Amino acid sequence: MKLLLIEDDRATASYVQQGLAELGRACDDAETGLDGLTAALTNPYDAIILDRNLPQLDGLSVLQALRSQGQTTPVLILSALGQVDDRIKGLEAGSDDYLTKPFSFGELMARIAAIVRRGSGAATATTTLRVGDLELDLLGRAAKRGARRIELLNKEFQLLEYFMRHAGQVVTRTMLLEAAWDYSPDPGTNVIDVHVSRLRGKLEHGDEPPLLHTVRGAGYQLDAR
Amino acid sequence: MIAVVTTVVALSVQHFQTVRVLKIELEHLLEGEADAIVLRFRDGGLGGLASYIDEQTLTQRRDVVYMVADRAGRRLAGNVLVWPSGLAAEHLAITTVRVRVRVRRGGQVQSRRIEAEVRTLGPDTRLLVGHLADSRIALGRRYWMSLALSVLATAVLGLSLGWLVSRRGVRVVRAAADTGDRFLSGHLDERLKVSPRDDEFDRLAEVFNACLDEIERMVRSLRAATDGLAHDLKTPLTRIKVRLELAALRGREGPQSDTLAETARDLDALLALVNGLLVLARADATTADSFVALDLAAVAQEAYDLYAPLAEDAGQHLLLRLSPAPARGVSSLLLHATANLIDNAIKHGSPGGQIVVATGIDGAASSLTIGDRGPGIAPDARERALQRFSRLDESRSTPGSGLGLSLVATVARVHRGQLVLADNQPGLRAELRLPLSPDRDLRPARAAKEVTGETGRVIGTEG
Repeated sequence: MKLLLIEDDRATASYVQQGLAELGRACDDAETGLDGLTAALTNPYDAIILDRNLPQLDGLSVLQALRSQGQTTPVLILSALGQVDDRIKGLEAGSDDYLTKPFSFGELMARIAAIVRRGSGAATATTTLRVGDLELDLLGRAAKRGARRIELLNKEFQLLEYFMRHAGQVVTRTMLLEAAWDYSPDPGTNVIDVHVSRLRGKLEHGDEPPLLHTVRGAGYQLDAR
Repeated sequence: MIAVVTTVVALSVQHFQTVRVLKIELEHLLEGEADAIVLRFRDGGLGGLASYIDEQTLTQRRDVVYMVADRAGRRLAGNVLVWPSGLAAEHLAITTVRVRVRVRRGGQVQSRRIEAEVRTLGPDTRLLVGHLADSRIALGRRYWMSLALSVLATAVLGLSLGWLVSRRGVRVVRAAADTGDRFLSGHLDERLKVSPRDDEFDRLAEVFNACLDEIERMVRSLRAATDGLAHDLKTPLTRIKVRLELAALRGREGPQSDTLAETARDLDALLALVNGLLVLARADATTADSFVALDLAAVAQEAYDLYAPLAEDAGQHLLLRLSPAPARGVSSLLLHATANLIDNAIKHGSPGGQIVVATGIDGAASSLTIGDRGPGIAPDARERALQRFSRLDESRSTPGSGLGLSLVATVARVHRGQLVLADNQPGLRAELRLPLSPDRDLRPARAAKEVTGETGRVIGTEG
């Protein structure tokens, strides 16, 4: 996986690059919007991490220029502008995700993994999601594990759908909150923990093998290992 | 000033009109007399004329004087003794002039001012017919007198009325300046007096006071916030520092993972605190143009979905009693406020107790109420509970930044609504009231920060 980081703040850039190096990921780095756009148009990347306030050409303009060239490389905007309006503007300009500074490295990696997977694009127009023996019928709004029917509340259904669309990936609490409650401000992560533990209780009965795993310091992962 | 000018103009117009009429009358009179005398002179010569003039001066026209003189100015008839030196001997025009003459009237010789007309009777004879000008001079004098009196009266009246009116204005302005001075020198409770008259000056004083209220509120909340922030930042920062120093003492051999995990936890708490402040600052800057029509019942439902499992885990029952409660606002802010209230209720409610979330219309307000069965908040602590960084638990050992209720109060205020904390008998009943129609403002009146009946204390002014 090859990434491009377009970020003018050197401290943030070196932090992200060091983290990626630890994980053995290659990452190119551009300091201005113009350099970033040139790099993005000339090299194939798996994903682009884009700051919004950039010299020469701001992040949203870079994004729009990319999209107007038919570039579909997944883009994650990394910005200090974190209000709902800012996020909506970013997503409307064609970004695949939006992460507000300050951020944790785990959150950033989880989100990049999510958008790279989305970019490889299998998840179009499915009506049934499957992970192991777990099955979610999006039209009938019904869940089954093997032959057992699972009764889900509205929010539990939304959470499970999100987990299943990102099966095998680490999903952070903030991502879950955004998925089920739009952009409601973070009420404290324990609220999400409670929801996930209830969902887990419904998914894993008796001696059924575990599906929903806790990833320490990062979030959760739905995986039929 | 204007009154004075008006008086002068009115009186002058009147005076000059009168003078003009009198003058025309006088000219007619003099002309008529002159004509009559000319006729008599032609008929009866100088002798007949003299007797006519005597008769006239003695009986008929006491205020008319006559003189018939030769070219040299010698008197031939009439009661004017000397041809007035101001009148040229060869003066022939039919004009009216004002001269001083000596006349014989009732046996006495007087010097009088007259207005006179001169005619030529013959080659060596001239006639002077005059009218005593006293009455007109008196009229003129009376005009000047009355003008002076009127101007004086108007000026005195106008000035004293003006003084009465302006005295209040000057007093209010001076009081405002004094109050402002004292306020600036640190007396934040300094206010202008508002009289029961309820006039424009009182309106001004009210607005002035409202500005001072707002400044005082901001200054006090800033002070409280700075103190609280300093404390809340210092505690985890000190812990981090101590931990790092210990780790350095232990050197590379010692176990580092605990230090790192604990430090990360403290840093998370610090970040959460900073985020809370940012959310509060953004909420504070919300304006009505970002409002949309929404239903508090939907907001409550969303918050319920988020918190019901949490309440259940805490051994409490979260109950919904929803009826439509339309309002205008920012739904993410209202959701956050509602979530904070429910979170508080779960934290402070009693185990096994009920937490009721209700929405509905109450008078001119859409209301969202959250009632718990916990210990509640004592009436005198309610206002303090809304301030930033205030935790009623003095030891500050319970989790939370002390920003929760403060955010709810701010959200209420930017929505022109109010947050009412009351006794749920037992427990705390927190009610968020938003105006039903967008032109209403439910924020408590500036002066009324006090108790409103038995429902509780209206407090929605904290920022």
